[in-house]
Amino acid sequence: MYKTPPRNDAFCALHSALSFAFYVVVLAVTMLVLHPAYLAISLCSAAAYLAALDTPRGLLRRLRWVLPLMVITVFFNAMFSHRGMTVLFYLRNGNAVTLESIVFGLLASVMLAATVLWFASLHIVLTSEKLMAVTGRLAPALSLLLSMALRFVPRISRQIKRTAQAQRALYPPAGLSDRLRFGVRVLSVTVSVALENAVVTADSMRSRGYGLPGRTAFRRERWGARERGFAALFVPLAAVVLAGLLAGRAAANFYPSLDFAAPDALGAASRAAFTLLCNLPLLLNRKEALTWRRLRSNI
Amino acid sequence: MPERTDGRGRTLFSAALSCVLIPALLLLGSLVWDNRRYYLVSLLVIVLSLLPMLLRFERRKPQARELVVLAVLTALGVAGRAAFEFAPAFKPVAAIVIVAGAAFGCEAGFLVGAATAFLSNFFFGQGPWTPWQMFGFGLVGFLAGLLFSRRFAPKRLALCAFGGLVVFALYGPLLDTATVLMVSADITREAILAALATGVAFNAVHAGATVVFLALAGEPLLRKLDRVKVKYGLLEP
Repeated sequence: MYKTPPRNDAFCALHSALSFAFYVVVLAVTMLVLHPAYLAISLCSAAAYLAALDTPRGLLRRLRWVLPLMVITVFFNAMFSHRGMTVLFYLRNGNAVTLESIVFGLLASVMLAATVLWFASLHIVLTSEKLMAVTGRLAPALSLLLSMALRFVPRISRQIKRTAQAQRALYPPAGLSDRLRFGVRVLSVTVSVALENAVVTADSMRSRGYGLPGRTAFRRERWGARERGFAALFVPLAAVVLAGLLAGRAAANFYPSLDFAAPDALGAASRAAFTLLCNLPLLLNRKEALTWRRLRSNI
Repeated sequence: MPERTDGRGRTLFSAALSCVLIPALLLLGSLVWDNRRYYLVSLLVIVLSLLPMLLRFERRKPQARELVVLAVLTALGVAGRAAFEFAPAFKPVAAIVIVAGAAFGCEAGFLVGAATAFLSNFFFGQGPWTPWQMFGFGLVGFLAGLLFSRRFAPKRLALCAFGGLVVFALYGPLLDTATVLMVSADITREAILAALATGVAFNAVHAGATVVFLALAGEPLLRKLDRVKVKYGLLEP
């Protein structure tokens, strides 16, 4: 269930701290800003990167359940939020449907969709090793708990299949109540096996020195030219985006009437920076692909 | 097994932290943001109420055995949710979280609930609802630990009644309210009532599933966990 990162994705191979910082900034801006320009940039970039990481079909599979969610959000806002000046029409119970509430619903739904898509690519990029490398120092116990649980999921699923096979051969279930008892038996056997294994694992961890100071991560982190280059782009871009946000260039007011901050020089710079920032992974991949082509044609 | 003598002090500390920070945040929301950023404030409140429990766990440096057992229970929850992917509301997660809380106490119940919600959302879709689900399932596990983690074994009927009630009347409404906070800038009573009314059927199925799973597998699972607890001296509540 846990995907291994694609081998030809340069962003996946980057230092974990950089990937982590990238997602923190992008997700924070996406979830805190309700300005149409920023949300559109975020959604498009999230979709583009996810399509590149996974397949376009993987993107469509996720959109299949995100789209109904978006529709419900817009509908809900139109039905239950009656503030706003521009009345489009009146419902049968006398409540007004306003342009403002529909626009708010649209933007909220774009925000939801962008968040979901960014998290989907985060799940592919930040493998449990990378997550351990980043959060291992901040919260060692919790991140170990999470990454062990992730590792146990496929193991337990396999164990359930094995147990079910054996139990079916030993006591073929007949009838509904028998089948229920069969299910419970399989579950309870699996739990016993998993727990016994868990304790053995724990004892092995202890005898290898779990909890001693001077802990290292499995992933070997490298801070090389590529990392320096990425950081040299990422940090100034993030600063420009942040400057734009703090100066109110992403302000969005919906009630009583729509009022979005128009782009002046700083606003435009902040938006351009955000576009570049969101697409840094794709740009990095593009650059790597070009380098590879050049190297190959030089042979 | 190390003694956990200062557990009470830490509980009080984290409770005090939540009691001070959350009202402060609500005040900030109503004064500075003019009560318009419901979504942001509510999200921060939920994160703040998750943090004390997580920090508490981190600070007491849990043993490897504890960690691994909690990871197994979490993985069971995640695998259980994935196994019933075809049935939207019919999920065993709440039942597993309740069993974890009943067997290993409040903190374990909370952690298994929160971690299951967090991890399973990587397969089901992560979003602004994740903290709410983490808090919701964490609360379910915490309450189960509070009610059942005494020396005597909980009765099947009590376990089922608790499971059904807590899912139908606590977890479901919490998540329905969260939906309104997430999608709307204008929180009205009728919007919340409509969301709750829409959720009744879903919550009823979810509660029914929890009761069924607890009735069938609650006692066998608790017996297994108790056996491991006695055999290896694990996680005394």
